Amino acid sequence: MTAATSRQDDERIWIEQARQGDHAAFAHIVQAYQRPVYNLCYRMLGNQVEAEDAAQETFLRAYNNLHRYDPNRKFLNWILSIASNHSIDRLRRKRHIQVSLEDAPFAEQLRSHDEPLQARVERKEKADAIQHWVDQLSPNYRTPLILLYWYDYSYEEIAETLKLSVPAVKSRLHRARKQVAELMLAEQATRSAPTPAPISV
Amino acid sequence: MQQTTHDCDALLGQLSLCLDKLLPEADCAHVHAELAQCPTCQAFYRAMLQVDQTLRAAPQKAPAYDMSAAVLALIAQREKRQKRALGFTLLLSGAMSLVPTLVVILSIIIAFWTTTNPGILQTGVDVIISLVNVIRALVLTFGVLGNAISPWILPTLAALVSVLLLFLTIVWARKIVPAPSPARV
Ligand SMILES: [Zn+2]
Ligand SMILES: [Zn+2]
Repeated sequence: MTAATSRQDDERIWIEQARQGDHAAFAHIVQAYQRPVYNLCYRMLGNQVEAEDAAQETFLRAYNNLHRYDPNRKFLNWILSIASNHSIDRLRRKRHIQVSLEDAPFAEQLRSHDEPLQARVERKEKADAIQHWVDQLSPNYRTPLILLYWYDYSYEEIAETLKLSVPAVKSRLHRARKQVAELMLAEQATRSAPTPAPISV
Repeated sequence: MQQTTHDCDALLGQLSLCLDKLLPEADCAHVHAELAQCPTCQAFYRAMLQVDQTLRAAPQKAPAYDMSAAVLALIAQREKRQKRALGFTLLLSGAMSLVPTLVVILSIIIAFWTTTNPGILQTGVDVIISLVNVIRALVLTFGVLGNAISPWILPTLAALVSVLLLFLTIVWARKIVPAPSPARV
């Protein structure tokens, strides 16, 4: 018996026991999947506190819905799809709040869009270059990009996980890359120009 | 000068597929030849390449601590809340079935009084009796059980209502407290 099959057997047993309400068995599942789940939440939400919250909520939802899990499906795909749905929900809620913040007077907007933004961008870029770009993508474009780069998923696997068609994945990945490229070009132009001007690409 | 023989968005879409090695090499060579003619696409493609390299180099983020304890605490908390909801439901169903039970007992007493000494509580009982007469008249018009109608009709009706209420409470309780396997959040 190889290590991989014994791990799969363990997993099947844990899932079965957790389904019967065995908390200790579910703890094993959490330990086995917390890294990929946390990383997805982090890449979707862009900060540690929210990622921890979302990852825990993902496992709680998984526990409550274990009876719906189809054992023929890869467990990783199943739990990542829960994590991604939950993260998108959170992003939508957050955007709601942000929109109402943007109703602030114009002068205030100007102040916050002045120099501090550039400083903030550069500091962030040093800390985690790519997260800054991913944070600005629309939620539906983030997940395919994350699954492609951090999970080495094929287009088919992304489609299966996100319940999308392969052509839809194709177009979302293209849009995601294009959006990031646009942002990058716009910011590069801003940095080289003395006054921030609107960039049309 | 900008070339307009191609759709820039479509070309970038194909370049995206080339990045993922999902287009045959010959097709990619053709796409790249076309790219060489369009400065707009070139600028974009350079940025896309930069994005691609940065993404490939970005590490997986790991949680700062083992989350299993926190998750189990969340599960325990949720199960406790479910138990509390179950207790509340039982209490409510108890209270709900108590009301019709009281009605049953009261109407039995009234029915007993009216049959043994008709003089007592005449005014209040008159109302009930006229109600019973209405029901009796209704049943009589259908020609069924005309003689079976007695003051005992009220306790019987109350008992039926109480059984119905109890049944509805159980149905409702099963809805809010999922029995063996907990439902979705
Ligand atoms: Zn072009
Ligand atoms: Zn061509």
